[in-house]
Amino acid sequence: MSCAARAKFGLIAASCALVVVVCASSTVHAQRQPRARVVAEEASDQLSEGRRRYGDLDFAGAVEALRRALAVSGTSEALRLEAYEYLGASYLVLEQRSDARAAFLEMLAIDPYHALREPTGSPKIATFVARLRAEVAPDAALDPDVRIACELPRAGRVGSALRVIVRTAGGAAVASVRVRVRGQTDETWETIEAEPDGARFVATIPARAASDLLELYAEARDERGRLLARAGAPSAPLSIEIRATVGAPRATALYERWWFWTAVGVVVVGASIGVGLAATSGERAPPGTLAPGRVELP
Amino acid sequence: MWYRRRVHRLASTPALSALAGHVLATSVLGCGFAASAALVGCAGERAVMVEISGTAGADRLCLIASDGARVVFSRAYGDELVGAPADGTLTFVAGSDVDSAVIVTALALRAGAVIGSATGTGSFGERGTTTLPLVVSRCRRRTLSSAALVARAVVAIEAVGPGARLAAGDVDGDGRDEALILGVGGTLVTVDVERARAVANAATGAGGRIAGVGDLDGDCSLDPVVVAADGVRVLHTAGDAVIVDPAVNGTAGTVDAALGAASGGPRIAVCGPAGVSLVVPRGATGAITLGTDPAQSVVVADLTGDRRAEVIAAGPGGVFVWIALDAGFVRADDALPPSFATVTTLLVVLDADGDGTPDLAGAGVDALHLALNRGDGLLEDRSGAGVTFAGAVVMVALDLDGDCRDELAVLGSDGVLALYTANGALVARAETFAGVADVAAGDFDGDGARELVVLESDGQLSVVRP
Repeated sequence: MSCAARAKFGLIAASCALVVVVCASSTVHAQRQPRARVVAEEASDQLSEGRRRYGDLDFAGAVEALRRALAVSGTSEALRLEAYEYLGASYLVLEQRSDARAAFLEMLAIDPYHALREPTGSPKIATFVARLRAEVAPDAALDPDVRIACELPRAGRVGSALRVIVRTAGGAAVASVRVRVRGQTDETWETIEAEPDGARFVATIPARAASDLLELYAEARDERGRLLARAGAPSAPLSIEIRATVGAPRATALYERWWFWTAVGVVVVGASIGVGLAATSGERAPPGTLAPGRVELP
Repeated sequence: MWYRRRVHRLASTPALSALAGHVLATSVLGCGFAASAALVGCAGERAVMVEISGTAGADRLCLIASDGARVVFSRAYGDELVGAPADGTLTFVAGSDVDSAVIVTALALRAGAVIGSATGTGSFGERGTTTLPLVVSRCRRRTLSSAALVARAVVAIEAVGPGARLAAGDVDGDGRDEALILGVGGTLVTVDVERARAVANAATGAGGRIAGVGDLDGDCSLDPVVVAADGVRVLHTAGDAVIVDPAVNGTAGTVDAALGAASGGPRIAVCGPAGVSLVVPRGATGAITLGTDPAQSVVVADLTGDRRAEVIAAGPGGVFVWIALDAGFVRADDALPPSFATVTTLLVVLDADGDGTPDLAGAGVDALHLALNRGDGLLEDRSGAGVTFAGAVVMVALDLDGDCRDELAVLGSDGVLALYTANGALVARAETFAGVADVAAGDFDGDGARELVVLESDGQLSVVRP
């Protein structure tokens, strides 16, 4: 075989190999995607069934459905958290306290500060979980009257720090706020202490070097460092997209260009008007979330 | 042209060129900052952002804003609450009239009955937006300087005459409950207790007892429900006007009614010699008969915590319970303790132990009983034989001492009002009040905690509070 023929053969073989790899990966992807979707749907359906039966006071039926939901492998942490919560509550209503304890401990293992969301708000369940929580998370002092909300920008820019404003109200006094944040590829949460700023707390998230989707949640703690309330949770975090900046060409000896001074003039006028507008629009009260957002009183 | 050449020569002169540059730059800067100053000088908005929370469990939220004298905003939120946290914010921007403060009331309603409320006054700052948190709750904790109860005379009501009945509710949307006195002849007198004066006087056509106050027509204005001789009537309040509905068909003979039940929409639970049923306000048809055993008292409460209200009635045969399920109401008398078999005349819903779940108190011929909810709809009587009390005619539950655990006020047929703490068991308080014709509870000063009003047999209205 000549050199040219060997090269041609090698090229064809490599192309075939590439086609095979691409086809194989496509096939694997095509098989995996429906399987993942089926798993998620199956577990979610069972959880919904458990919720429905719990609402209909069919606690034995709820247990069955929730156990089926938990038997599905590969489900999300958020789903398992909720399923264990309903399962523990169902067992407790059925007076199966040891099973209830096991289920609630699984729930607390996923998130020791998880605030109960089962709809009855039963004090019996709340008390039971509070006792268990005290065993696994001594620094938990969840106060349902403490309200905490994060004000996030819609997006951040690569290379720019982000300000997260955390507002708290009601209940026990909040002494400190921590914002916990991680990027898409991070496994651990980075803790950022928020600085008190009047009636609110402000956390500054350091600049990111590349575009990312940040996940974060905030914790309000009392003066003894006990956790009172959270905005978001590790299993259901808030998110901010970090977008890439558009690069600008550097100019040299600008002052020698005629258009530089024209641009300066335009910028000065624009900036001045912008400052004015910003100052004025800053005075415009933000709309609320309930319709009509703003009510102009007579 | 000669002038073009001259301009060109001048412009090419370095000194003049620099001068022109300075003039241009100064002009540009001056114009820019003048524009900024003009814009900054515009008046900024002054606003109050109301932050509402704690409305879980409600099927409707009413927001009512007033300047203390008139309602300036009223809106109901219903669909927005389904399947989502009811919390939200709304911004009120100061106007030329309402420019110092706005009073905002949030009412959490379920099937027309008020299950929680919050009222606050938001003051407009000199500029910018201030916040007014409103945490809707069933009760408000308060610290008392003295635990002793004191009766203070408010106003004497002569227009209604003997036999008038008393109730309470915020019918004018000012964030404070009014005392509502319905005379035998049908005259409805509305009393601003805090300001000690009657503020409205309306003819309703027939006397009776105001069994409850709720929003049955969805307009965020609270409507008294009257049990009259010819049946149950709803008095629709709209500003100073009262529009009286005809008696609901099939409710003649009703002796008691309660709001908060639902079956395809808000319904009024009624009871009498013919039994217990759910009727549709402003509707002629669609009554649901729950039972045919005679009953004298009916209450509605979500005993199971599933956001659907159960119906409980007391009559000569004891107490009956109908649990609300998706499929409808199912009778489940075993939800109550055996001691409630002797509860035959009066029922009242309260939170005796402060756990947030509704408990029940009841009166029989000669005793009062208390049943505490375990949290799942099963109630237990831990007080034993109950408390001796003969001839109870009115029972009212409210938190007088500010600990979010209700006390019980019981009016006897002899006109003596007795008070009981109800934490686990009924224990009589030292205070009693004689000469009382009727009693009601409401938040008359708008601080979130409730007080008692008593109507004496001579028409004197007094408020009782620590």
